[in-house]
Amino acid sequence: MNLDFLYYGYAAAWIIVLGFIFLLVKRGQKIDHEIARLKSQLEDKEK
Amino acid sequence: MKQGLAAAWLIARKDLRTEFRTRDTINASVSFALVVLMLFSFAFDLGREEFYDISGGLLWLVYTFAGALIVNRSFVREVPNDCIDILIASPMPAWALFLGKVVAGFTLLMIVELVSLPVFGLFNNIIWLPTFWPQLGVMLLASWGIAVTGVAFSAITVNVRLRELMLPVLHYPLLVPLLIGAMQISTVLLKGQATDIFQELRIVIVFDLIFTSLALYLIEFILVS
Amino acid sequence: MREKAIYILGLLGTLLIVGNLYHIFLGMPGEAMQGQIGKMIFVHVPAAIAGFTFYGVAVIGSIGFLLTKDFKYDSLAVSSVEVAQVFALINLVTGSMWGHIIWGIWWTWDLRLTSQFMCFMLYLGYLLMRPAVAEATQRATMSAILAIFAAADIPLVIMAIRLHNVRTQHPAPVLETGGLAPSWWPPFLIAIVAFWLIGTALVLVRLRQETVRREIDSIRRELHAI
Repeated sequence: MNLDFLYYGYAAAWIIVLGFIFLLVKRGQKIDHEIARLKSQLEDKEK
Repeated sequence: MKQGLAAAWLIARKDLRTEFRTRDTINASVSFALVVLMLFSFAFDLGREEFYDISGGLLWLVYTFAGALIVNRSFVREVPNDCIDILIASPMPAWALFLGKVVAGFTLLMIVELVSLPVFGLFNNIIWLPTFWPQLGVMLLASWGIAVTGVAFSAITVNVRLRELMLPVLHYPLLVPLLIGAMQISTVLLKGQATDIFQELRIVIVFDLIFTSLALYLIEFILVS
Repeated sequence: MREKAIYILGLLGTLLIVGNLYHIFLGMPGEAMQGQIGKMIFVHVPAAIAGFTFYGVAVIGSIGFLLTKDFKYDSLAVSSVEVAQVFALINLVTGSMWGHIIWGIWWTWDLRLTSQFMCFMLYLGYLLMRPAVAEATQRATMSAILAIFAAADIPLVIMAIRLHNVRTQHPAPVLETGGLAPSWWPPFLIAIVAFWLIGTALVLVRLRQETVRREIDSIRRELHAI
């Protein structure tokens, strides 16, 4: 039983870190998308 | 420096005078304190002796909630009519403006506390009169801490959305060390114990010193933006 | 160049962790008093150390911003706070689990858990506040001051809780049972370094996102100006 919880603990740590990375990636995609959109808008306006 | 202090005193008097003309903040705060006291009476079903164990804690909860109401409005009340811009643009040093508001807030807070204490004693059959003077000392010290941090946060969040929700979330965790000290001292005083409360007192005083100096130093950065 | 640094750091950190895990689980016997669960220390404490390191970096960034008004520092501060919160959360969760095994309770108001929790709450306020301020300079200034206030509060919190626990005569259980056995030091130190590396990699990633965000803001302003 001791060992089970040890695994849970380490698993929790991994899950939290991976969850954060996932959040970062999602946020990264959103802002990449946003900046591409804005850049194309800028080009359109300059024409 | 002397001019700064004079300016601070001016601000304090202005705030207090405005407040006493309408008395709306102080009325709201006292009413709120009374309501919370009433709710606490229903929330706990303790015998008289056991109640003394939580008396200090409850008292400071009431003071914190009611007090935060007052202090958090300090800078917000200057926003209509752009008063705040005028104040910042004036030759008065930022720390003087801040200090004046803290003194005003502190005074209002003390009034609310002094009114609430007898009511607290009445509702819960707590005898507070014998230890009133030391209790007053704690109230003065800890209320200063609440006032200083509260006015500082009021300045910080002047432009923030959902200010009323954010302020408690920011302010209360910061107050935890101060409240732990004050609650412990008040409980010991009300219970009439001869325990040595020096260390709690030290925490309260250190809290006051650190945050007063920090706030006075940083207030320029806050107000300029 | 930045990309490569991130990947190298991340990879190194992960490798260290995997190697460490192998050693911890297969190469080491259980601890004398606590059995296998004592090995939680290789996650719980390094997380706390990493967390506090990154809070420190955030405070440095905050002070840097107040002094220089350069947004680089603000980006550093917010990135570090986020990463620190991740480590703080790991510390709290593993601490809770450890406590559950050792004493059968999921939470205790002991010095370490409580002060970590308070730290988490203070900086949670920091993270909640940021989106609520629209203007960049105001947001950065406000965040910087919040971070400094929070950091100043932490020593007081620790003092107060230690006092509180002594006074209320419920000295809550403390997780460490004293010194660390000599054979336990290498994995422990490796874990700390690994967390530092991974944390730094995450901060760098987050930093880059902040730079992009600022670019977005400036493009938006340009668009409005046209």
